[in-house]
Amino acid sequence: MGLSLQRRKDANTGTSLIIIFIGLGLAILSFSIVFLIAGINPFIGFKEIFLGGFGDAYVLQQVVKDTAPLLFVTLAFLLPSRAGLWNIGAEGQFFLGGVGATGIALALSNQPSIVLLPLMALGAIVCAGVWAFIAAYLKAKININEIVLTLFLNWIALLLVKYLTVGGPWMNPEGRSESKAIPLTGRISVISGTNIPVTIFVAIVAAILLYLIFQKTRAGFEINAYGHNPEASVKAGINAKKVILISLTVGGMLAGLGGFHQSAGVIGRLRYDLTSGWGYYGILFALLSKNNPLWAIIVTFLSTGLLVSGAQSLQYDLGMGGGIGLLFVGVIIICFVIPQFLKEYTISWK
Amino acid sequence: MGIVILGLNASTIFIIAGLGELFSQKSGVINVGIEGVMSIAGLVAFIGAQTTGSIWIGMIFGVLAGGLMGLVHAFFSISLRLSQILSGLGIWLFGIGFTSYYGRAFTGPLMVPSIKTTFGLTLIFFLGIVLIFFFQFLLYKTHFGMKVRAAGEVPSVADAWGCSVIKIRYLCIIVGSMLSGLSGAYLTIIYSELWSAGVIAGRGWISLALVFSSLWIPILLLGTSFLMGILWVSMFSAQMLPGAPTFLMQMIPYSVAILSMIAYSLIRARGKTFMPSALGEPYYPED
Repeated sequence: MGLSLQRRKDANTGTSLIIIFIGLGLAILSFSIVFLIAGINPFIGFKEIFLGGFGDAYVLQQVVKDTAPLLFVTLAFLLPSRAGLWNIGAEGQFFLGGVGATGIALALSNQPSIVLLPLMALGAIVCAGVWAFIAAYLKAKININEIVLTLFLNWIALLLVKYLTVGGPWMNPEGRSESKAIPLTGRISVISGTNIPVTIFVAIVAAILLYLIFQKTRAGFEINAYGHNPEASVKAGINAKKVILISLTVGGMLAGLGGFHQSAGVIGRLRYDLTSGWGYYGILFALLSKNNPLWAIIVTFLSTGLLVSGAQSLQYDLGMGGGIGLLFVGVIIICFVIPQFLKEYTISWK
Repeated sequence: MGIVILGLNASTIFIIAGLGELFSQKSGVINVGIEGVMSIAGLVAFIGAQTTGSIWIGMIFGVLAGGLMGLVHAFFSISLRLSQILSGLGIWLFGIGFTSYYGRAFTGPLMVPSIKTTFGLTLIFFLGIVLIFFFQFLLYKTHFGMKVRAAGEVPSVADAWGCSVIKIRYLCIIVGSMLSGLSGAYLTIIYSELWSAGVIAGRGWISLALVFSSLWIPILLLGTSFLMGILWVSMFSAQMLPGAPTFLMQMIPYSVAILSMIAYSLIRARGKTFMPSALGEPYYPED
């Protein structure tokens, strides 16, 4: 007597839909329990999440604003993931993007916008790219586990930002725990009539480009092939080192653009809460979008509305404590990953 | 002398949590959610001690909470075959979210008398030392330890010998997680004597890094934990100004862990291994 597992041979669209519904059902059930424990009617709780995510023009604008950095980190996980690599380092690469952008802005603060902004974006891309390249190079050259490596690099990146901004060389002269402000010439312009930096378009274009690269180009084909079957693809002449170096480094650069958006577009300076766990949210969003860059745009937008903005309004409007957003993300990971497994295996008692 | 005693008390956190992680990794399963396990165990232990008035009941609560989180991790990563990393990250985020949300009502100092100390050291410190030597013996001198190491090195061979890799890994994760729970409980109710969200302050992650710097050998972990404990208290001691330099010092454990990984990898090229070869790899007996 015991549980027996068998790999399903006939996973199809029908089962995929069932899986999504099981995941949603589990999530709704778990959230309801959290609401009931807090003494909140679950219907009011869910309504608050929806209103807090998509309720009116103002929150919608906030959600679109936050979708940009989250889409960048989602893509930062998604691209290497296509090659079978786990970039857990988007959090640190995002910080390095902020460091690069802010560093250039503070050093060249007297330059006009037209010179300064492109250089800041370049600084973000280079810093984050170098950070990811450390892991990529060590993975490609001596096969060090990229997952653990990028995790440790995240903590070093966070400490680097704390060093620079809390009592360090870039500290705000008024003594707050943040860097000096990025000059106004170094701020990303916003879509007129809103407070959404135009970098949201860069994120969307990056997603579409990635989709086209995977669909149409040889590079995309090689990344997919390597991710699908490393041994066979190497035998077929694909350069494994090149695939690892390019997919991880470009992934890091994308996360760096997220840091550029957040520091130069939203906060206007470098802070150690530039990202608070968003790099890890990106992993979840990429998995939920099944590593498809176009789906990633939609999934990231919806998830940002519900899990970031919606959960925040639970905190402010219903008086639920801080941490409720993180709690929900943890629950979502569990709710959506278990059914994934059910898709691949059937369970029976023997 | 004072700083050494403080350092040893701080090192107890790393010794016990790191040992739990080491034991789990020896069987081939990494738990990156150790910070979340310590948070949950720390909170549960704090509530237990605060409501019953007994430190020791609190400690037991913490160990049990740690074991429960280990069971969750084992269920996800072994039975459900979820990626060990994803399961660990989920446990971390859930643990931080859960404790900052549900722990808010308990924020504050512990209202229970402190336990006795000998030369300024608590019983848990000595327990940590004993545990290090016990696990050193268990892993390298017993038949059971050989099975654990086999499960982490070549699970298919271990299975062929007739030991169930699944059972061994379940056991090691749960026991390892109980140790992390013990460490979290020690941190909140004996070492800091308070609960606040974020009280673990990255020490779970540091413990993970220390395992990677200690060749996966318990006695070496004892040494790196001592050094880390001294480093930790000197960062926050009164002589040192708060601010920038402490952040650079806090990078040390992670940097050393990365350098160690590079070193292992270069040495491995010459036919020696330190890291459990199957670390992070799921094992499916029927495939």
